[in-house]
Amino acid sequence: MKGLVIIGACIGAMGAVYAAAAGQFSSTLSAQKIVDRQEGEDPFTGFRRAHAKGICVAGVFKSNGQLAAFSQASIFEKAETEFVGRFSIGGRNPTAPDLAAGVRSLALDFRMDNGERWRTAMNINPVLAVRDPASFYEQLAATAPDPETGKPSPDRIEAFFADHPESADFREWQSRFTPSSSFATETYHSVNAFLLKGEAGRETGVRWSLVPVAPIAEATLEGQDALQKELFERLDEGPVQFRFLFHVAEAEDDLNDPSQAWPTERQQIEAGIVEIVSAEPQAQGACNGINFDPLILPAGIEPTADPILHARSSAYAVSLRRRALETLLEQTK
Amino acid sequence: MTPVRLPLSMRLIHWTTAALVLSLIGLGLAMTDSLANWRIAGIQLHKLAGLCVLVLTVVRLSLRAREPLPELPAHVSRLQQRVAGLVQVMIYLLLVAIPLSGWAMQGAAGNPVKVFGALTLPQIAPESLVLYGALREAHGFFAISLLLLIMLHIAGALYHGLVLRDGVLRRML
Repeated sequence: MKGLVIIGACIGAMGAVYAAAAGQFSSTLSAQKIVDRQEGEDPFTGFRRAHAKGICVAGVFKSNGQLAAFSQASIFEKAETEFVGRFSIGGRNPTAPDLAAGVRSLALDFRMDNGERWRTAMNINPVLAVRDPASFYEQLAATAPDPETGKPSPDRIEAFFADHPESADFREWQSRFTPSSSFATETYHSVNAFLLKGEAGRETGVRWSLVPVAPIAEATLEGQDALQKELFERLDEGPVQFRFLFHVAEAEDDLNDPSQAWPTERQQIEAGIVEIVSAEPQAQGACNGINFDPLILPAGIEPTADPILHARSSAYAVSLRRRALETLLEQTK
Repeated sequence: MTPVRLPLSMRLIHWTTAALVLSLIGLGLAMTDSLANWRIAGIQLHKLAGLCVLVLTVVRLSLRAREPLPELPAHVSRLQQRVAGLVQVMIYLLLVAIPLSGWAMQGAAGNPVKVFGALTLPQIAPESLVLYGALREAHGFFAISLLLLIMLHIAGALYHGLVLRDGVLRRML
């Protein structure tokens, strides 16, 4: 009898330990909770939980070799590296009108010759309104549509910003930003900082951005998919190019705080030209299966301790798992 | 009763695998939902330890194929032997299927599997969202199944050791 009690206690304790590991007794913020809040009550199944609407692109990065001294990543040698990418707009709705979105993004998946991959998901906003996952979770609630009006409540957003003084740089950017008439004429930013690892352990804190080569054009856009249509038309005329700029941190720049802008006089290194040559719809497109996890990095680029960067990686994985399962179930119907 | 024990090689592999698998499942459950900065190191460790389990299991199966285990004591019924054998077969299958599904799902997601820094494992599955969906769910389901089988296995082993005291548990100590 005593033996059976011991056995029962052992197995029960083991079950409890694993339930605890899975977060069953924990109230801390998790990737699941973030994605639950992003997808809302009625998720768009099969789609990314954030930046659901987008368009696949493909092209080549032509490195000029300037960054090779800072990073051992082979992509920065003077050579060309192909990529698959995706322009997208913020939000959970895969059929939202392009022009209504406050955020535009460009994500790239570089396929290096040595088999390595490098993913980066960049936004038109150079900084975030928050610096930690818990505040981001609050921001999701503050910016969610009000059940009564169907629109975000300006009062709640105002109150959120008032509670989060670290959002000052983001609000300053928001107040002066005017969206252009094309995905091809926006500047896209890494938002989070990373560490470049060079020869002899040389370490450089950087953020990067893609700066458009084409000038901003006055154009009247119309329609639900105005930006996608404009991109197809533009690519018919020729490639879309961006300068790949790296901004070098100085000692007073906090690498772990994505809410703070760095002074504009920081050293900039142009690593080459990112050239987009083709586009295709995301349904069945080459970019659709890609999780643009910002922590898929080649040797020579390392993550900082920025908690938002790590939380992004975790939440993206949850979004991928959900939409992958939904796509699987849809196909086996 | 003369105490029968399994060969030292089998016992070592058993206990090393046990330590690795129990840690791997706990780490896997904790890291998938974590927002913390240790997650990325956890994933790296998970891949490395998972690969070790796969290698150890292949070695173990080839050792077993070469030399059958010593027979169980005569008082263990045929039915009990069958059940124990079935549980073992299922555990072995999962010890192979779980690391393989983990490795393959990384390929399906297009993520290179780097172990020991520079060494990148070959991609064993084509890039596909649907395939990733299947492999990712299989990986998690297999892992929970293995955990439940291990609990059954431990309960059985302790029953022999604490209640029957018939020398069966000692075979593996």
